[in-house]
Amino acid sequence: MDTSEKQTRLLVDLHVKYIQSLDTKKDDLEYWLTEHLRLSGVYWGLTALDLLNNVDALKKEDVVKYVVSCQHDNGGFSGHIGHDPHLLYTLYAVQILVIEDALDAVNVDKIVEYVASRQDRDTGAFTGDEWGEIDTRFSYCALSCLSLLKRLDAVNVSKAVEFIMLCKNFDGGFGNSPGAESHAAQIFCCVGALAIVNSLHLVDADLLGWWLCERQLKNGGLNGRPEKLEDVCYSWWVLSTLSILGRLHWINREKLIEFVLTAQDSEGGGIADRPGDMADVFHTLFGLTGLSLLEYPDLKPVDPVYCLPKHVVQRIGLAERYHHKEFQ
Amino acid sequence: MDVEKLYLTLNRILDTHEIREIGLLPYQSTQSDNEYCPFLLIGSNLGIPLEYVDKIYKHAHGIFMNVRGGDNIKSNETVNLLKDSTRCLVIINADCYSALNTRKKLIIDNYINPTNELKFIDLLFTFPKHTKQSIIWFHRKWVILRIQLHLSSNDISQWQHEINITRRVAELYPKNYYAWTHRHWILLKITTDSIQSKSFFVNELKIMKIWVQNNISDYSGFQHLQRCLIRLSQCYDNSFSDFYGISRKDILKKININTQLQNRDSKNSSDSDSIVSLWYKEIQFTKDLILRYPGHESLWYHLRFLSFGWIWLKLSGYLNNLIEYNFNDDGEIDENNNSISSITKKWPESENELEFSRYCINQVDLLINQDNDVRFESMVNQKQNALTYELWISELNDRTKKDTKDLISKLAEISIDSNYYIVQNKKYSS
Repeated sequence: MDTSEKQTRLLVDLHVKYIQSLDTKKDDLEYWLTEHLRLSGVYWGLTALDLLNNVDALKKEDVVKYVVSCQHDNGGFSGHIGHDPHLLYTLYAVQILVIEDALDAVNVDKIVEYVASRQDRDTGAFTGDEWGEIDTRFSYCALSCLSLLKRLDAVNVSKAVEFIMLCKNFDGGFGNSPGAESHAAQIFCCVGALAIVNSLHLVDADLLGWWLCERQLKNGGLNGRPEKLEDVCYSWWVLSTLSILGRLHWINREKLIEFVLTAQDSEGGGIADRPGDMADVFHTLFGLTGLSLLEYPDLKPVDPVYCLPKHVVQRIGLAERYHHKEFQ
Repeated sequence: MDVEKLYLTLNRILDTHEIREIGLLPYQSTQSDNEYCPFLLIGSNLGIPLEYVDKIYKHAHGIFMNVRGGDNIKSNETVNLLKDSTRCLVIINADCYSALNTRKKLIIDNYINPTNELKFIDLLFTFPKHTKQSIIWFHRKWVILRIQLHLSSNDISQWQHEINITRRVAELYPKNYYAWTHRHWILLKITTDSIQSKSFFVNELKIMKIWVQNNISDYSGFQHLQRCLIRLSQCYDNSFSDFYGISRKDILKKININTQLQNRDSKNSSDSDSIVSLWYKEIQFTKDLILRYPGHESLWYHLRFLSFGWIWLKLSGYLNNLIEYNFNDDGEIDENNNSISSITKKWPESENELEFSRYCINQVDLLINQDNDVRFESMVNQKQNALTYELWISELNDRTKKDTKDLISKLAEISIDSNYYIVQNKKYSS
């Protein structure tokens, strides 16, 4: 990518084309290495397109048909046709269907059953699939999914909260399991999950907000842990949490916008993890959602809890579950 | 090149050689007469030419999808097809979770030996990218637990290999989150109630102290060191907190610590002293590193944790009667034969912690005044970190608003990264 001149504006048309082209690259090794999580790719791409005011760039009929083809008899979804069901992909499927307003295309009761069966009765934690991996990411997936389906009653919410709170650390952050290092992406999952079940009062908001602000580096970018490199995706994990906590204005907005814009591929479209690297759809979405939270023009507002366009969350009648105190 | 032949050759190599290291090559073997061409086999190292990776993957994928979609009755032929295809898929892409799930099923049905599967994962971990996938670490955990089902003893030596693996991976891919959480998990698998386990934790702490000195900017290493410290403290007192879910709010509001306060008098005081000594020495060790390696956020974060732990020790009654232990023998020498600056030895009361910060700030100011070129950036970082630590200590001890206000205004002046101190400064000024 061309790094000789700094990008100062969002390349909307290029990003739309980039996302549309992803499905045509079947000869690339990268396509095959991500084949098992193609459903995630569809969610990242579709959400990005909606934020870019181009949700129709992917044909709704095709998208819904594809998602339906990933559902299994037990109600869960796999990352692609032929793979095994998993909670991660079940959330992505529900998010896509909510964006497309097409939940009636699948068996919702079976989804609820699948998600509920992932909860460990003793600890309140959630397992990713039948094999038993536990991670706070899965707590978020389960609660977000059930909230979007308005079926939070299907699980033991207070137990779920109990487990998340065990993963809180001395610095106010959260890890993937009790005692694990605070990590910005896990923090988003935990705080997002707590927001969904109206438990934000349990977060040490000032302390955590401080830690999150310390993720901003001299080049404006954010990292996810101390002394790590900056990465565009933390524009989402860190900002969304600050936004949920009503502390977004603690970040240096201008410098972060500049950092994300510089990570755009000005030829092929898409956004990379940092300037000069190859763009991918994951970083494209999280660059855009970050910019959206920073109130960058030309982008629809994103909901910091559900990582969906705000108008979608409003359409299904979910309350805003975050504090308001944005830029003044 | 014929895909079928490539696939068969790769599997033949893996079946007939004990491969210890694997890598992708930007070129292929030039010895076309070699039976393993285009793969490069040198000793126990296998190189797969990048050019053929997608072909092999697609082929293995086709076989895998075809066979797994079939009926559930496993003939020898289908078992072998599944074993070989999933092996190729995972070697190229350790995140291919369905292939790993199938391997778990093959283990349950005794078609794959779990001990061999562990060796296979060892091999996968020689390829750095694979070590960043949570799913392969979970697969490893699952296989270990499976092996343990059939073991009657909980011999600590079985964990040594796991420690070695995580160490190797952490060096291959610094700050590897999953390698370190795996290592935390090992600590939890070892109970704290025997002499062997205690010496394991003593040793692990010792290893970590050496490790962090060589990886000074790796906070993940310090995090693990903290887990070792907690685990070893639990060897002395099994009611010692695991610190799960405890943060500053708990200390300020004095919640989640009541249970420890009770029955403190009946605790064996020499065990309490051992715990206090452990933490005190760690604080001293960290301050020494901070003076030797200025400007590292990881070191200061670690000190934040320790100061937090110290207050917790105090609130929980371990520092009963405020006995100041006489650890300050003059002329104490550390492992590297350096004399320790007296500032690092002060008892970690809040006043002394603030003094340590100010000492670091003064040092920076002195150096910068003397010579503008001296590793300027690390000095600026050191000053910012020291001021931040002062703020941390002040807030942790609920000090006066004026102290906090002064610190924030200083930080707002030098902070050029986030808006945090600027916003706080406005709040305090208004």
